[in-house]
Amino acid sequence: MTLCIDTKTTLIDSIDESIREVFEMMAGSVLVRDGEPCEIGTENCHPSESPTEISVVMGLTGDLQGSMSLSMTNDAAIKWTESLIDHQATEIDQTVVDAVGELGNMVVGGAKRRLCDFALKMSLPSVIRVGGDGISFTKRGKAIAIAYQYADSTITVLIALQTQGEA
Amino acid sequence: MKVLLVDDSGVMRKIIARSLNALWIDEVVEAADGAEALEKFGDGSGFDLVLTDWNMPIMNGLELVQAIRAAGHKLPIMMVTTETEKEQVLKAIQAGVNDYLVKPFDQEMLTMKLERVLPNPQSA
Repeated sequence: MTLCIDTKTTLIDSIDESIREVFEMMAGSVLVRDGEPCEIGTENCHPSESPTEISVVMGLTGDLQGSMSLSMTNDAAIKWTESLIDHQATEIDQTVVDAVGELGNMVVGGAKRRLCDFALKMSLPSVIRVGGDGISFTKRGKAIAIAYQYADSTITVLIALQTQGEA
Repeated sequence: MKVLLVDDSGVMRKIIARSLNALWIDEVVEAADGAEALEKFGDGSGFDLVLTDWNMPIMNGLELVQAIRAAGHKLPIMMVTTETEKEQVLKAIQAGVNDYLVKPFDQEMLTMKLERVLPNPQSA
């Protein structure tokens, strides 16, 4: 399908509202956006100065196809887990991985709820630990980044969507 | 008051169990999927409420609800899930779910929903 500006804006707004809601309701944290959403690969789009160490990725199918991911530092993931269930960790353990997965699950669920006009399916979240360069995208579509300040670092949401004519 | 809490996420079980223990629930029995939940549920005696996620491996929440209702149990069941599509909600209601709590939620929302299906005996 053709991704029009309104669709893109709706998608960004839905995910933005959803992630803020999840942090506020589940962890009592107010997320502050770090700049405006921007298209990866364009000039002046440098959503995160923090290294990406852990990500949760969900596939999108249906009216909108692509993926959504949330990436953060290990410290941010540990802080999120601690806020959620008082789990004390100094490094990434299974509980932190599960908490990051649950974050992805709830953000996607909230976004889906707000995008009820679209026939949209999202896969179960997969948590991956990655190196400093983070997630890379193919040239099959556009990737949009939304960055948030959290725990003295940045949480970055990346939305990669296939565009018209690309299978 | 005894609650059967079913979710494949240990983190989510911990969040909900902690919230329930802060309210008027005496005992929370946890299960990671529908099959484990049925095993722990047994003949259902002693349980006052089932809280279950939808998407779980082995046996999902909807199948669990259907199995509990098919066995004739009338206790309240609440879905705690991110599934909010109209068709899904209808399916859950048809299967016998009494109420629905959408993730994410805060303590206030959980308390409000709990009051509806399992009122605090001390406030009666």
